[in-house]
Amino acid sequence: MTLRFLLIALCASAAGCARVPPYQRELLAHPTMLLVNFSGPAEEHVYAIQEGAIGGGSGAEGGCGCN
Amino acid sequence: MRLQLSFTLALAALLALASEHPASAERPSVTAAAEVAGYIDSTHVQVASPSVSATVADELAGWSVGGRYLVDVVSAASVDIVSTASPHWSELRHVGSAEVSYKRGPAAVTASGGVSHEPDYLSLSGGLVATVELLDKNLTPFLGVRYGHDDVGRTGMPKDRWQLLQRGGMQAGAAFVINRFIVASAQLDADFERGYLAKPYRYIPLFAPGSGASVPVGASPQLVNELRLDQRPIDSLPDARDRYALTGRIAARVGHATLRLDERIYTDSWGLWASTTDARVMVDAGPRLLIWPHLRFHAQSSVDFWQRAYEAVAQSDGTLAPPRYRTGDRELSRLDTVTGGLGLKLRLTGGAHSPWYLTYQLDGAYTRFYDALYITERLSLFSALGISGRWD
Repeated sequence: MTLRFLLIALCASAAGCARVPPYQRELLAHPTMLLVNFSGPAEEHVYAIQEGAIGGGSGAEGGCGCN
Repeated sequence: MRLQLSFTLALAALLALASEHPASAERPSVTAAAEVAGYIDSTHVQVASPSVSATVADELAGWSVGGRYLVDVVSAASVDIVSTASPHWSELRHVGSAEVSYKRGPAAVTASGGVSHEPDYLSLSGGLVATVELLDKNLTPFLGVRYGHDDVGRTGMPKDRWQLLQRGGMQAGAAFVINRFIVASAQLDADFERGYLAKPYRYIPLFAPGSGASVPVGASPQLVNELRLDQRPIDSLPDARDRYALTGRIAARVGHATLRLDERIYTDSWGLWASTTDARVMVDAGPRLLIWPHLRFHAQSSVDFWQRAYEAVAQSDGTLAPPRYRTGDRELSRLDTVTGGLGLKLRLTGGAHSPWYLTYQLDGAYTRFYDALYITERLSLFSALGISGRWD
């Protein structure tokens, strides 16, 4: 069910995309255009404790140790 | 003479090659960073978090290895402690993590692992993420799995009485180029937690049947102690939690600025729904300075079993017992948090190689608790100062 939802979301999102050749990616190459999580580990830890939600990060997420 | 000419030509050719392909590009580069972060809030929690990290990467060979070490120095005397007459406490948390990446052609794999240790908590975690570049790098799907093993106890409690919490999870999604100015990504995370999920230090005030509604939002510790029963059971939560998050990210380059917008929709098997919106406008304020105003809004509902004032349940033999699930964790109640701040990154050195950067971030947050005891709001301040350098 969730996989089907994800595939539909991806197809819907990709429908409006244009294929951009490498020589037109000057602006996309700017460091701020990386789709990474810009929050550092200390900031992420604050969010993990203050918010009841998780997800959206990359890789393994350690236990918050906030007992 | 001919030999000397050949040698000169060969040397010239080598120099020409070297200028086209600098030796630095063929060597691994080393990046190192240090950061000191601080957190303080109106519930008297203070945290200082120094950290160091380093990465060695060879872009041509396609590999990188990195590690990070962080210490949290936590000092707290929060309202929960006041209400349970516990003393002010301080604690150290040590966190170590490492990451290895390897890229071959369009495919890349990243393995990561981490250890977090404090006197009453030990967490081990690991994960693997695979990505592949398709359609001339216009579409990059990724798939990842992760596992965590936590041991949860209380300071001074023998280790054999600690409780186990296991966390398994997966993530799947894709990043895609929309046009020459915009990239976006969509990601689904599913995490499954099994084991001890309660807070071993939290005791829950219990009220007589039918009297819970008369305990007001934000009731003071004194009022709670006047109204509650003598029984004070410990925090008790279900031992399974399935958590799902759908995250969308978009980055748009306009002039000398990048607009970055993240949205996460979250739900879990405890009935909590949440929306988190994070926006940054990163502006090139000069050839060496990047600044970004930051705004974040988080709103969530409470879990299904949340009650501001838990009432005892009358048993068939006439005694009173606490409800099966009860918690005093305010982060499981309905709340909103607004965070706003500013960050900057300053390049300290000129030249194309071996840059050094100074970064600073200051965020203030306001949290409104709609249905909790002791407090109705919290103000907090987070700041981080870092320096990083790269050796090419």
